[in-house]
Amino acid sequence: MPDIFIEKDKLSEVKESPVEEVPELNKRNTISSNIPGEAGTFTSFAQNTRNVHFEEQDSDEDVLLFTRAHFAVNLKWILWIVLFSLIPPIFIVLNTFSPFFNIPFLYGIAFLSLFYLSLLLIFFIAFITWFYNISLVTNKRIIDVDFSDLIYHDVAATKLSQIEDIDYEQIGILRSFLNYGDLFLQTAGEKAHFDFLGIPTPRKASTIIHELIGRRRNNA
Amino acid sequence: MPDIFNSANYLFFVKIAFLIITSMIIILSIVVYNQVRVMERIITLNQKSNAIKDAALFFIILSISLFLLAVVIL
Repeated sequence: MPDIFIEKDKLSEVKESPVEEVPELNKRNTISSNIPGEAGTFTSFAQNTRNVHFEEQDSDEDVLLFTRAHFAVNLKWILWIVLFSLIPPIFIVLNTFSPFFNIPFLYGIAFLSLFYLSLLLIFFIAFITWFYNISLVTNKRIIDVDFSDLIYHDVAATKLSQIEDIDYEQIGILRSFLNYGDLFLQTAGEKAHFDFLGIPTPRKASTIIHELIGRRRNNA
Repeated sequence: MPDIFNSANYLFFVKIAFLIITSMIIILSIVVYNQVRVMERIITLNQKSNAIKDAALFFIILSISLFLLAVVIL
């Protein structure tokens, strides 16, 4: 039953109850999820990231989507490195039981150190190749950072308005099981293709980019 | 004149080969460090520590140490 007669004190309380404040984040350029994400060392997919910045970023430009390849793409080289790291112990055991190669002790230690240092370096290079292969979607443009080799890196950017077509594919058991795949963007710019390879939830990324393009067209 | 092609002197060649490989690894570590530095300038992932850069520097130190160690002990 509605209260028709309310005490004076209570009435003022009702009137002065604070209006729920709209968080600052909602007023800015954000996408579907308003929860700010954080791009950590092993993060492959984050929305509304506040801790990612790039060269030539405008003051009013926010990183709305941060993606890099799913960590599962690293499994192949991790497995290779683990297998290679088992070679010296196997060699040592075999040489102990039936000596077929006489190596002085100090030389053995030195070569073992060199072998594992090289292996660690290969591991590190493979890791940073994955780590710096980043794609960013901001409220203004799309940036693709390719770090495919030690002596090669390519940074490409295109405006959201120049994107013509988006499609994604998930082929393979592991990709379907872990939900990661490739996202391809076709642009009208100088660089015709932007490929986000092996990113988690490509469908979601595609929806987000569609949403942003739609929003920009509506604003225009 | 020492007979360097004598089988007894094969350790001399092994040492030289070792030093060459180690110096190549030193150069590679410096290239890796430089690339990490360049990439960090292009894109900043606000990490609490500069772990990647530190790791790259660690490789340079490690490979130089191995080189010096090889010069001394081999």
